[in-house]
Amino acid sequence: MTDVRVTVRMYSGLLGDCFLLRLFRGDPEPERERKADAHILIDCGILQRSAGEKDRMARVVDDIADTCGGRLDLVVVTHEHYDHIGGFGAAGGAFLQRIKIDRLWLAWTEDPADEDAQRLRALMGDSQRAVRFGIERLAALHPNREWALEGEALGLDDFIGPLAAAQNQLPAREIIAALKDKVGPGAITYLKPAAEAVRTPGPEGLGLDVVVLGPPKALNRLFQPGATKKGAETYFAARQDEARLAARSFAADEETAGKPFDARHRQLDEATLLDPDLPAPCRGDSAAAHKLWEIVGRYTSRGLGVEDAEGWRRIDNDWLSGASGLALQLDSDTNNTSLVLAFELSPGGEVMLFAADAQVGNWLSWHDPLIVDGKSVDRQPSAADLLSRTTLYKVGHHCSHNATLRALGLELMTHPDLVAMIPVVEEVANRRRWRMPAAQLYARLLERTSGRVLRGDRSPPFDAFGEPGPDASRVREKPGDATLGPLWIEYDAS
Amino acid sequence: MPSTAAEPHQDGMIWSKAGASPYPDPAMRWLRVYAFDPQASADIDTAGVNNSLIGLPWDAPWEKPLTPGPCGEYIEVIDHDPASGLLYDPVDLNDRSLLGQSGLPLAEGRPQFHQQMVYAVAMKTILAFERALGRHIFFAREIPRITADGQISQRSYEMVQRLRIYPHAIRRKNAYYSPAKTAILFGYFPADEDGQAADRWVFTCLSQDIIAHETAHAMLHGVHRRSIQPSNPDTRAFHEGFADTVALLQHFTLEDVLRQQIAANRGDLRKRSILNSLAGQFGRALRRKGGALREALKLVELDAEIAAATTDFDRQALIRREWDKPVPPPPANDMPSEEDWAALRQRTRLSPDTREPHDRGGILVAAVFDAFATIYERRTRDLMRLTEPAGAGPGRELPPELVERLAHEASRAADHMLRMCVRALDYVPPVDMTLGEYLRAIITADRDLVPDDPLCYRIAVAQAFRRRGIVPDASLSMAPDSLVWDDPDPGDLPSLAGGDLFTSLLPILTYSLDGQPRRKKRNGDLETLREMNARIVHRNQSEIHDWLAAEHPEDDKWARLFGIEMMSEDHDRRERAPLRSVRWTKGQPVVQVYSARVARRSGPDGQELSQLIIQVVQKRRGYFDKDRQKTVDAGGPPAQEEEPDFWFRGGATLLIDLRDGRLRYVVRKTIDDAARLEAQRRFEQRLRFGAIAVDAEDEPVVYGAPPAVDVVEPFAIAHMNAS
Repeated sequence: MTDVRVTVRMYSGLLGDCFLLRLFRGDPEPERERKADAHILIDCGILQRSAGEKDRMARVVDDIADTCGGRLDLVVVTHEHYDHIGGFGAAGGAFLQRIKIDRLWLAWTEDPADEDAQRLRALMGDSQRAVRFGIERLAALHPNREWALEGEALGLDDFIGPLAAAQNQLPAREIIAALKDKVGPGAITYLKPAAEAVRTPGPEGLGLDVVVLGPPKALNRLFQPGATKKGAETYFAARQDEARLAARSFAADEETAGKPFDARHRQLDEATLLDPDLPAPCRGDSAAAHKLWEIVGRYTSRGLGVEDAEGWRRIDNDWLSGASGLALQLDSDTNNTSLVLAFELSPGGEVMLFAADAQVGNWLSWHDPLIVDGKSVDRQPSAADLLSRTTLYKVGHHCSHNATLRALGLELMTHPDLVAMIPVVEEVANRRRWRMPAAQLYARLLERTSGRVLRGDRSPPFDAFGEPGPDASRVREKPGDATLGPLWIEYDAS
Repeated sequence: MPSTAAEPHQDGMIWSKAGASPYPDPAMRWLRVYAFDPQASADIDTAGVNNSLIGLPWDAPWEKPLTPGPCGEYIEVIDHDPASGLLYDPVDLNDRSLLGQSGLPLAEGRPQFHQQMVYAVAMKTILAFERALGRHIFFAREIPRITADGQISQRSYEMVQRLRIYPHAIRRKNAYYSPAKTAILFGYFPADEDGQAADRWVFTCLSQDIIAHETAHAMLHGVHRRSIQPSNPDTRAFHEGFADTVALLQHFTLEDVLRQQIAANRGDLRKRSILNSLAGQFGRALRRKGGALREALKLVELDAEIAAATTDFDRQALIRREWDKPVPPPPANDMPSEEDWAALRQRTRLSPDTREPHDRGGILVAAVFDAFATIYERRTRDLMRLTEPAGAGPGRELPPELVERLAHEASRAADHMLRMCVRALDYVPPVDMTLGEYLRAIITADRDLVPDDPLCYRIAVAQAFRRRGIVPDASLSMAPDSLVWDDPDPGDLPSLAGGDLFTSLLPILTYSLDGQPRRKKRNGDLETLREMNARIVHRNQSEIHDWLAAEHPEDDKWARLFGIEMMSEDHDRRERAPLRSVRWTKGQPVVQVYSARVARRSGPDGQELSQLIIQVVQKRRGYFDKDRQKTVDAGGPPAQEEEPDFWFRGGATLLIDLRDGRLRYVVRKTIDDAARLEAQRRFEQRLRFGAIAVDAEDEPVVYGAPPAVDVVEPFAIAHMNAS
């Protein structure tokens, strides 16, 4: 194996992941400004509907195409979330038209031949359908349906991608399908944690050994079965059941068994009855009408003052509350299916850890023994070993509180040269009430790296680099225009 | 001259003398319901007894008259089905067609029948509960307080007159009690057959068990307002277990079913039957495998099997069948290992690893069911023995007279058990109760009302709880006498001790509704008796609060009695620094009176007991970080609005015998109990981070805490996880 040098480019201003790894032959010491000898792209996305989404994505795609000369040796897709893959589907598929992809790496969860993956996809599919239908139904209740469908009011579809109603953009599921289609089945590798490291493709001698840490195959690590004694299988079955039913319940009436009761059992349209301007029945109207008037009055607190009004007891939207719960659960489950890769920069040497959006279960599984042919086998190298050699850590899930382990994670990253990269835009995250970066984790990252934390929304802290740690010359920033800000930050990992 | 009704008649006086109705009101209103659920009508074993009648007392003149909905004194049913965009006509139970035929006939496809059934079953549950408790019940509402940044912080509380029931609120496999709406939301869903949608709906509001269960949640919240906020692993478990206990014991009030099942099982209540399991359709469709009741019955069965497995072969077979570890089970032909056998036996007992509320609650239900079955067996032992020579041998049916007697004894025993369980609710600490404390409450409450115990009910209960591993914290003997709450230590009492402790308080309170004038409400109507009761409870509560807040030279003793901060900052007997993590205003610690109720109970032999029950509670800021806890304990929070990581509560339930004004018990949870604080800290961490994000010591495996998530519908989630 020849000496390989790696420069990692993190695109800025995205609440989303997009990393371009530029590989150079190490002898003689390469000039990093030149076109690299091989290119690996890990994810390409931005949070849906964040400010300047389209413009930001377009300039990123332009830059990737220019930098790699229209050909990538490898694309790694970590998981099916819009903020990691939206770029591949942006602008009517410009990415796929302009850039040739030699090989595609996906997690085993995308493998059509894997039975566990099939079950997982069925669950995710039902959950996605339920969330979509739920959004449609919620939007229908909203006075401005179009605005609500755009999702600003709901935000439930942030990660599964635009609804079918939106134009010119694909949902996450279909982006992956298009990507796979473009690359062709022969050029796709599905990765799972295994005893053997894999080698990145590319020109002769320019490969890196990669240890696949996640996503786990074990259901109890893939999902969070909660406190129940029942096994992960039971939990999984219940989740499937719930998702399927939710999809069926939220679907429009024509797709289900229809209304629950025969029309001859008196029932009246809520829109008319709950209208505050509904006139009272007159004396000539039936007794039933008067009874209905009374009960509706009780429900709507008609004629009651603020003090006595019982609007808080109404249930108009409760039946849809399942949709938001399901959306949150789906998001976190999908994050946990992240493909996590540890790149060895030299055999047995320094490591770059790309943790994607892995959640606690995924992290914990790295420390579990592997099951090979029904037997449990210790991992070689162990997770603790890899973490201790880590010099570049792509922080999990935009530095949210539960995507970086403490004792079994960051505290094991003891290498004095540790540098962290966080693809985050704090302002955008805060607007959605997400705590990214999470304060305590961020503080600890600063400590562990002696301040060498590179963020997508800040200029690099050049002062923090230099003796005894890595030199400031290994960090570069590409300025951008006044509206969108800097384009990328680069770090020479080796 | 044309006459109209609106015009006053010249001789109106004559007609007004005619009175409203020459006939007396009926004593009861009978309503038809499914004994179990619609599915039971399709099953040959249960079809004959699935048609059941519930008799409710006719509305009394001091109650709100029943109007369409049905809306009565305790319950209002409103049938809005937002998923279908419809409202269904309310059923009018006073319609003459319905009065003439005991309400609508059973009909799965008629929403008005659903309204009738939820009303009837919920009312029946409420009346049974209220009778046992010996006082009016009210419902509770949690009012969320929204902070500036949109997070929900503390909640305030108010009494609610009527529980609202929505029979078709959601299209989900769920039914839940909503503390925020003081309502029960029933779900319905398309029946699922082999993974395919069937052209049929399943309605959770047509299951007696589910209605009784959810109603019990609502009542329990009404009695103990903190019961819905978990502070230890038993809080939610108790809610689930208690609700299922109520549902289970209700089965034994269904006479037809009881007779049929007793005949079928030859008097054995421990055998699996429709009496002691959840009704089929919903059990299956809801997949409530994790329901406390199901879990309970599995435990009862497993117990019996463990007892029956005397050979190694049988034991090994049982071990293999119940194997739940990730590794393969031991081979069938091996000798059973001691370890595996002990582990299996341990499964039927409460352990710290049993965390899921339904699993944990199931152990409570199993204990209660066990005690009930023991009591029934003792009551019927003579009957069974008498019939033995008469040859009720194998294969022969029990004589109908015997079935009748056994059914009677079973329903007596169930009623007695329910009363014991419900009465105990006044004897538990106001916050942070454990299942072991509940056992002590059951025993104490029963001893107070029935001083001797000729049929050994209390021993049966204590034994059943011990067998399930439900034991009080202190290493007490499990003999009923030592389980009774201790008398207050005379040395601790303020010098007004003995009978006069509350002399200055008792005369200012109102104890009885008798003879009190009913007032007019804002809308001009006369208040009902319960509304008047609520008003008096409020007044008593505020009198007690003022009485407690007044400074007293012996506040140090009061503080010890209640287990909370009661002394002013500069009290001359103060020995240690004030605990600043509780709230202070004007140099005085803030104390809340959660409730002050008068209960009048009567025992099986006419024993009478009148008690005043007062719950006094104080809250303290709790922090995950122990240093921060110390800082705030000593110096107070940086700002009163600052939200702590969790709230830690302490206080006491005081039981005062109104016959002599003596303080009988103080059931206390002290506010400065460091071990309890640490236990709650660990519990809250697990709750906040999720089970997977804490290690074996309950320490988080990540940095910092996630933002607190307010669980708006705690029971909705509890039930989903159970599925």
